[in-house]
Amino acid sequence: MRGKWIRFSVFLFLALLILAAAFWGPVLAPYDPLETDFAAKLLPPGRAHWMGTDNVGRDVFSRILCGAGNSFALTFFMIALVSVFGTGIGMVSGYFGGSLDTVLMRITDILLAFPDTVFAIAVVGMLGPGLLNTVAALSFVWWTKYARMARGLASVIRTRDYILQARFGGAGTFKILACYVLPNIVPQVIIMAALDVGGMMLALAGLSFLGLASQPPAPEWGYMLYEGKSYMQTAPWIMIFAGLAIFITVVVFNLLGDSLRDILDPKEE
Amino acid sequence: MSEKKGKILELSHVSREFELRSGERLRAVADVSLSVGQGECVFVVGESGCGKSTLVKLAARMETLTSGKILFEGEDVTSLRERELRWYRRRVQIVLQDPGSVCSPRMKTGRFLMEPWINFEKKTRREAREMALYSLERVGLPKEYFGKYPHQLSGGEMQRVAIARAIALHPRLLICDEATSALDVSVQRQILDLLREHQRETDYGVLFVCHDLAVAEDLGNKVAVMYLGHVVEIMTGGSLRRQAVHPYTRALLDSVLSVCADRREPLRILPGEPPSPVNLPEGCVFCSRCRHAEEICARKMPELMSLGEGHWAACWRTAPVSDPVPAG
Repeated sequence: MRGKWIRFSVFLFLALLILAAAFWGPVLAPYDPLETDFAAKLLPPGRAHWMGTDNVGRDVFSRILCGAGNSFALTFFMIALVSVFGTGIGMVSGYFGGSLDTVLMRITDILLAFPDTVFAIAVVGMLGPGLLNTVAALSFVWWTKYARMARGLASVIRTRDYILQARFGGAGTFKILACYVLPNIVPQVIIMAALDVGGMMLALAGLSFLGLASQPPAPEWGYMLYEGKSYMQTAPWIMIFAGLAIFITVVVFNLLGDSLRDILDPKEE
Repeated sequence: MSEKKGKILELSHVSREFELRSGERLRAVADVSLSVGQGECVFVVGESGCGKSTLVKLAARMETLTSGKILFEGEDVTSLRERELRWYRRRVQIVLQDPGSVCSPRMKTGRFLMEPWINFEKKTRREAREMALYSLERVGLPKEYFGKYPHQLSGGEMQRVAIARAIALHPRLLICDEATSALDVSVQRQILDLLREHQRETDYGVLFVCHDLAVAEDLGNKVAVMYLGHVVEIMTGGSLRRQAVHPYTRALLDSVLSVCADRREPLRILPGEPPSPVNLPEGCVFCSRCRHAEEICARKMPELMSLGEGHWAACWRTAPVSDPVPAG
C-alpha cells in the first residue's frame, strides 16, 4: 500500500523534473540553440560544450533543453486531443450499443488496421510536409485506442446496478453518461494517457526523424537524431544525447503510468 | 385492513418468454396474476431460477411483457414510453440485492441521496442537501455518512442508504429484490424492521421477492409461492405454516432450518432439481418432484383455486370437488 505511493512519488518527481527542464529550458540553456559557430563544429563533449556540438557548431545540450519544450507541447496537445475525442466516441458507443456501436466500432477497426506511422507518411505525402498535417494524420488513427477502451468499460458499466438505480433516481440519459458512466471511465483514461506519453513522443520523434514533423532549424529531439545520423561515426554524441533524452523521458513516463495504475485501480480500493 | 383500500399494482396474466438461440422458448414467468394493495406487503417466494427476479423486472418495467397486463393505481402501464417511464419511476422505487453496487463507486452517498430530489423535484442543491440529510436521519445513520464513498460503508449501512433514497420521495410502491439476502442475519433483522416501521408510517405497497419463507411469514400480508414461473400458492403471511397445502410449499417449509427446531423431526429436503423451464411438458410443473403426483397431474396444469379467505392453491389434490373458482 505504501510502496506504490512511494514509487508513484518518485516517478512523479522525475517526470516533473523533466517537465521543469522543458519549461525553463530556454532560460537554462548556456547557448542560443540556433546560433551556429563554424569554429566550434563537431566538438566532442567537454567543459565548454557538455554534450558537444553538432555539424554547424550548435551546442547539443542547449538544443536538447530547448527542444524538450517543443516535443512536450506537441505530445501533450496530441494526447489531450485524442483521449477526449476517443473517450467520448467510445463511451457513447458502448453505452448505447446496438447498430450505433456496430458502425462506430467497425470504423475504429478500419482505422486500427492502418499502421500509424505509415499512414502519417501517406497523408504527408499527399498534403505536403508540415506539423499540422502530421498531427492531423496521427490523431486520425490514434483516438481509436481510447475509443476501444472507453467502449469496453461503458458496455460493462451500463449493466451495473447503479445505472439502474440512477434511472430510478430520475437521471436522464445525458446525466447518466456525464455523472455515472464518465467518472468511472476517467481513471482508466488517465492511466492510458500517462502510459501514452512515451509512445506518442516516440511516434512524433520518429516522424520528425523522417523529416515529416518539425522543420529545421527549430530544435526537436527526433529531428536532432535525423541530423546527427550522417555523423554517427565521427560525432556520435549528437545522436547519443538526443536518443538518451527520448529514452529517459519515455521510460519515466511509462513507469509513471504504471505506478498511477497501481494507485487508481479501483479493484485495490 | 388492506382489503378495503385501493390496489396499487395489479399484474394480470403476466408472462415473459425468452427466445433461446436454439429457437426454443423459455417461459420465465407464466401467467402470473398478483396484486399489491395499499399498505400491503406482498412476498414472492421461491427457489433460485423460479422466475421471481424476472417478475420483479416486469413489475419495475425494466423488461417488456410477452403477454398480460400491468395496472398501476388503475392505469395501464404495460407499454410505457421512455418519458412515461420516468413518471412511473417517480412512484415506484426499487431496492436491490447487492448493496455494494447500487451506488456508483465514484459518487458519495450524499450525492446519491440528493439525486432524486434534483432530478425529479427540481430542487436546488442546497434544498436537496437538506432532504438528503433528513433521509439519513430517518434510517438512523449519522450525518458523517453524507460525505462517504460507498466502499467505506458496510453492506448493511449501504442498504440503509439505498432504502433511505427509495422511500425519500414517498413512492406508492416499493419493490425489494432479495433486499436482505446479501446481508448478515443480524443486519437483515434491522433492515426488515426499518422497512416495516416506514411502511407503517405511510401506506405504500411493498412487493418483496426473496427465498426465505421465515421472512415472508414474519412480514408478509400475502405470500405467493412461485415454482418454475408459475404461482402455485397464495396465502396470508401470518398463518402460512397452518395454511400451506401445496406440496411444494410444504416441502419449502420442511426444509427451513431453524435454531429452535425440534431435532427429532428430520429436516426434509426436497429431492432433485427443478426441471429445465425450456419446453415444459403438459401437466403440473411440480409433477416430477411431487410425492403425491397422480395421473391427472401429468396431464393438466391446475389453476389457482380458492380454498378460503385469502388462500389459493394450484394443486389437484386439494382442489374443491365442486366447480373450481379461479383466483381473481
